[in-house]
Amino acid sequence: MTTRVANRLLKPEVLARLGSLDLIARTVVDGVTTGLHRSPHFGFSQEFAEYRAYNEGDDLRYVDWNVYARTDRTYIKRFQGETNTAVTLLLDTSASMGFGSPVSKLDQALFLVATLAYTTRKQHDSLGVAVFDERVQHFLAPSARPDALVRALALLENTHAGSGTDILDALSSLRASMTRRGLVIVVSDLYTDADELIAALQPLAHAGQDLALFHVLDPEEIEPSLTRISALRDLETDDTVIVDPAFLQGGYRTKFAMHCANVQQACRRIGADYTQVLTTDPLDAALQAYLRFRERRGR
Amino acid sequence: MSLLFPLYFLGMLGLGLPWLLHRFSDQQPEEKLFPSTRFLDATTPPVSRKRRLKYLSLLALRVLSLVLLCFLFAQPWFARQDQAVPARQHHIVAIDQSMSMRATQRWDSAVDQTQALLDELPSTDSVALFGFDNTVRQVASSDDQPGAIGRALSSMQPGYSSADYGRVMQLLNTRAAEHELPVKLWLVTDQQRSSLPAQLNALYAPQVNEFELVSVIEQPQFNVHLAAAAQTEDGVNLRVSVQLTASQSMDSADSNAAADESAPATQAQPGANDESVSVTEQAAREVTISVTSADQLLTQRTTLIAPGNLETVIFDELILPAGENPVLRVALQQQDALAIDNAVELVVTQANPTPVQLLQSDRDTSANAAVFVTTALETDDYASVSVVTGNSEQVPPDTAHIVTGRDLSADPLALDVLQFVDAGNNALVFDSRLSRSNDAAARAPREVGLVDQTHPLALGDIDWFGIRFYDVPPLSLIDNDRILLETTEREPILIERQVERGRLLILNDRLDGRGSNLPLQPAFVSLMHALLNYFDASTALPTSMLVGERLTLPANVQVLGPDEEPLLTLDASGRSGSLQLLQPGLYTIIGLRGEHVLRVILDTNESDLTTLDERVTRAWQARYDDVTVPDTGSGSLKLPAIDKRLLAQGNDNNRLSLWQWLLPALIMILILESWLANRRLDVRRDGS
Repeated sequence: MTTRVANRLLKPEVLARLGSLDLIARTVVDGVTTGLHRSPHFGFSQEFAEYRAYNEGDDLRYVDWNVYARTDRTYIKRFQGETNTAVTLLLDTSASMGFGSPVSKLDQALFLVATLAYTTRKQHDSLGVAVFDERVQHFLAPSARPDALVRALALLENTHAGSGTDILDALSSLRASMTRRGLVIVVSDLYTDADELIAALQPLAHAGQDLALFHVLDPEEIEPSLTRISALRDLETDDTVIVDPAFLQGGYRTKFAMHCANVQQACRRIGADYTQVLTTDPLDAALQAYLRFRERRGR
Repeated sequence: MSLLFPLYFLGMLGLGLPWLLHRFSDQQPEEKLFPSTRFLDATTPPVSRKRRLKYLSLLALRVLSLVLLCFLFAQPWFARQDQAVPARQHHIVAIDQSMSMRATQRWDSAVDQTQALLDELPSTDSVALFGFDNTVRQVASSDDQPGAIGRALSSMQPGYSSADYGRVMQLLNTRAAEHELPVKLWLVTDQQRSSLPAQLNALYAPQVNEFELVSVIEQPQFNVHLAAAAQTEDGVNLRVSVQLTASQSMDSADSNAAADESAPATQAQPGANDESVSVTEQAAREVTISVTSADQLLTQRTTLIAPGNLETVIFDELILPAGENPVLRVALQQQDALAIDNAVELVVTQANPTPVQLLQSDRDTSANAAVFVTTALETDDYASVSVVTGNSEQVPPDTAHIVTGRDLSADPLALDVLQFVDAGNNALVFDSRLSRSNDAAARAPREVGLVDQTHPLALGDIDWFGIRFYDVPPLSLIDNDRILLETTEREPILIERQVERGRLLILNDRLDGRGSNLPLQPAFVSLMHALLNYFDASTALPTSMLVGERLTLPANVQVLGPDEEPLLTLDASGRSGSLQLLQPGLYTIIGLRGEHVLRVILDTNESDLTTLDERVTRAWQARYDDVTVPDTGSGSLKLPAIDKRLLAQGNDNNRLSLWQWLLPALIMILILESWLANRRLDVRRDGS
């Protein structure tokens, strides 16, 4: 019964009525059965991992003096790290994200980013958030401070759809700020070429960041239901194109599916995780995909 | 095919609307937002032949529906194929039986013309013969035995009543509505101007399809109507007043000429005197009036009178002939067109004031009140007032009216007065209480406020200006009290209290000249006379009535007609009822109070033989014809063309209206259009 109630609550249109992103995030996370996952990086926590020989330059605080007393050798004690991963959430707020009904892509993306932020802080990871369209509008550097989640949610609450998209420029400007290795999660409708996407993400991957892309889409843009000739106006450029419904039901769908496939392939090439999220999908699937992604990276 | 309302074809201008809608829709596809046009290929709106046909069929349906709508409003009709066969008609032939038809040759002409008319009617048509004056009577119809109409026509005679064309037309309209066949009305009449209704619209009978006015006027006729009254004040000297009214009719030729001459120049009111007088003005004629009694000539005088004039002749040097209730005969010596109104018989009436008893039973009654009431009632010898001390049981047995002062705050009001009134008598009760305060005059005076003008007392005719009420005594009203007069502060002054029989009026004033100035004003005399008239009307029998009127009779009376034959059966005379007086002359009413002579006189208007103006008759006739009628000045006789067309469509069996077929066709087309427009969502009803 609890699961069923939780699943119902995870539907986007239900979440939209909750209003507060904090409440939405808690609802989603609590609705999904979660387990703690291991950090892919070793740190200095309570859970023991292994011993290794002391090398010059190691911090003497981590020398196991009991072993030294018994064996007269110096060993450094290593632990399984849990809270020392930096998670940076990149949210696309371009004008095209404003499309979708009854829940727009931006709304769904906000729910998702809030949920991921909440999960991140629940695991005591550092949380960073960046909001971009043609350029980076806001950036909160990864932080493990207790108020990191609150600040991130406050930023998300005041986020609205902007103008165009330039993911290459936006990520280039962020690259300098993300010196610490960690997870970079991009939430966008990815209206960009696959090559451009590779060019934007590859430097991050090379810098040791683990990448995950959440491709947010509305069913109406995947399979438009228009049945009459219409003038479709681009939300970002204001260009108007008169389109025959026959094309929308044929050629357009093929083109769009090819675009999605290209994006997915590009992600695979740079080792990034790709997850498609529809505005009509409950968020538990996306959250579980994220957790699986963390698990994989943890191994 | 003909159209009843071709102007509705202007609606065809709306045909451009669907064309514009369809054209507009092709040029302006609906704009919608889309996240990105990156993967969209611009498309020229496909203009395939199939799609054009689909739009055109929808457009054609819409245009067709508009055309049908216009046709439906225009109401097309066809003449039936069997139009060559004359349709059956119902004919109503109505003959004027009013008194004016007694004028020389009029009745004979009416009978001859009616007979000729009946002979010419198709044998397939049905006919009903009516007589009329101010009402209509069916005399015979073709449904009766063969020859019944002819026999009925020969037995018809003119009466003494006056005609009323408006009432007659409406009554005949009701009769015409009873027939499914088209009705043609023939009105055989002398076209008397005095018979026209006040509202000329009453002449229009919408149920009558055709109308023809048949005139019986063949030559100009001159007539003098004589009315007279005789009175004696002292029982010796006699005064006879004679009133002569002259009129002259025009024949058809004269009236046509008159109409043709005056029509373009004048827009005068139809029926106005100056029209006929201007063309028929003739020299005054000499008439001799004689007054006789028991075949003995008392006096005679000759005077001149011209048509359209009123002449009054007074004989005041006569001595009342000997004998009880002498009857005088006043007659014209010369013959004129209408002999029946040339002589009248008169009963000499003595000017006896009405007896009124003034009861002084209450010691509180102001002494001034008796003086004021007596003075007002006896002004012009209107009444003779006798003062009686005591209550109403002390008044003489034949007393019908009393005036008394009582304490109006008593409940019930004085019982003896109520008993007196319940016996069928009348009473005026005024307030007898003394003034409550000496400084009454210091109070703000109130004037007369609401006056009940619908009451027979006709209080609205009295000039209440200057009447002031300073101290109106409080008065408790009971249910059904009718306030006839009150002050501006709604204090009741004159009240009529409902009683079983008789009449009881309450005057809420002490009549002392202090509480109000009412008894000091001339209006008080008028009020007292009006009250007395009102009282008298409930008990007195009339002395003169118009022929044709109904006389209301109490029980246990007998009425002798002018020929001294009893008019009531034994059974009818035992109960109250009414009697219509159909003949002029002297009637004698014999009852418990003795004999009463009632004079039934002829209607002066009916003796006026002036005929209708030709323009009025043409306009009257034209309401049923499809001709343009010149404005007669009243404007009311013009029938709107739309009414005539509707009338024609509703009743003319020779016309085949198409709306029965057009309406279902329109509905089918609209359903088809709706189905086609909604079958595919891209072809919507708005054409987009």
